[in-house]
Amino acid sequence: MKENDFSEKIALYFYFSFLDEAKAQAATTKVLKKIHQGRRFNQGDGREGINLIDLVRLTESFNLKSRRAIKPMSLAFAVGHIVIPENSNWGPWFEFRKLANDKNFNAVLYSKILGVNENEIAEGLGVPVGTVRYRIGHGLKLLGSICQHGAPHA
Amino acid sequence: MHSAEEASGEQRLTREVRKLSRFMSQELLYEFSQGRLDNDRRSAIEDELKVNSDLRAELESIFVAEQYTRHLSLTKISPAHVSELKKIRSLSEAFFIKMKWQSWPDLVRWTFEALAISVVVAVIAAVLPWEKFNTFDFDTKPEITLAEIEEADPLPLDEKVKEVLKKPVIEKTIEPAPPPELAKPIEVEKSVEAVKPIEVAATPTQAPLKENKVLPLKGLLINIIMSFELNPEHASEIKDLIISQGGTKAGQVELGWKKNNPDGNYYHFSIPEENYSKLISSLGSYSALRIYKNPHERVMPAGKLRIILWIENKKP
Repeated sequence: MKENDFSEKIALYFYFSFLDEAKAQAATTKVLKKIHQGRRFNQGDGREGINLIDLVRLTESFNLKSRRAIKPMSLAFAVGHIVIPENSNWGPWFEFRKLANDKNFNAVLYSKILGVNENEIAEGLGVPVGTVRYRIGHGLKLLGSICQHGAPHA
Repeated sequence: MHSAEEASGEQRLTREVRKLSRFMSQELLYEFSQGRLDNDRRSAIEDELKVNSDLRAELESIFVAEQYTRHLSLTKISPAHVSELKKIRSLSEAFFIKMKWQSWPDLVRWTFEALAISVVVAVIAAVLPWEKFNTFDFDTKPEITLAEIEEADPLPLDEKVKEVLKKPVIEKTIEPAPPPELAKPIEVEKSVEAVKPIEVAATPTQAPLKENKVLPLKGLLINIIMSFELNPEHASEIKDLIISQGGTKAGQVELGWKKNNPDGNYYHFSIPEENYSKLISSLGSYSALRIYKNPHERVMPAGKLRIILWIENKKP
């Protein structure tokens, strides 16, 4: 996988996860730096380039270390940095981020937004593929429900 | 047999379709939407969907969510921003980069380099044992300076020594003493090189100087030189005379040590100061004598004089 594509996916993950540009940039920078350090360390060991399994591992590791529990309170993106498709509605995603279980949210994000294969997600997270599918299914049901009916009342 | 096979085949064909519970149908709904279920399970869920509106709603939610995420997945990060993200540094990183040696201004770097070199040179100069490097000794003169004496400031002398030096040199004629062989009076020769305080002070080289160390000449050494035909009896008499006047041996050799070249006897002794005059008078009965009073590093106890008497055996 090309470095720029990989960097973009990392950035997308944090943009979709944090829904806050400043936090997303800080996290992306940190993870990209870690990747560069790891590359220097592993230089000459015959290892292939970075793949999507690494992406899952790195982001999951970052989440565990940062102990992120804060749900986004507002949506903040600067113009020009992120190219949003036309007629896109971020409202359901914002609600989904707030309501969904972190594991289900991440599973949907990896699989449906970043296009990571279920097997790669499973390997990156260290869980069976069935578990990943279960998380995706539940996440999608919630997201679909939000898209159809709005956020369920607590 | 044939009828039994037919019966068993018919039994397999007529097997009841497995029915999934509602829970199982919900859990397999995502797999169903992805088309990953086997025929039996797919049929079971399809059957369930026909009768279960909630399940249909869930399936609809999955399709809507997939469509929604498919649209959102078109979101991109601009390549310029990706490049920026790679270059962004934290405050601590930026600080360390600024603090790097290469980032310093030339003037400051040169100043520090010059300071560092100066310190290194100073440390080397201070630590190296230069005295071990003989190759750097450019002084090829054969002379060795043992001591440097300032003429304007003569070496300090004890008050007692000064008093002794100021005493008049023996100039009087000594009346003939009553020694058995030498009955006629002997005129004591005036000491030409006699002791003058200034002259004495100007002869510091007689003091035993070791290396470059200058020893203070606070003591006094009296050298008496005689010259006459000396036989062993005379030598013994003079020895007894010295002892009778309270003289005691000093130095490393015996009193009246016989020396061959030059031929003579050597008396090194100390004597009470009050007997000094008597001794001189007695010695004068043998021959004329020359007395030198030289400043010396060794200081004698109060009331004692140190004398070296050298009697040269004058051949007839």
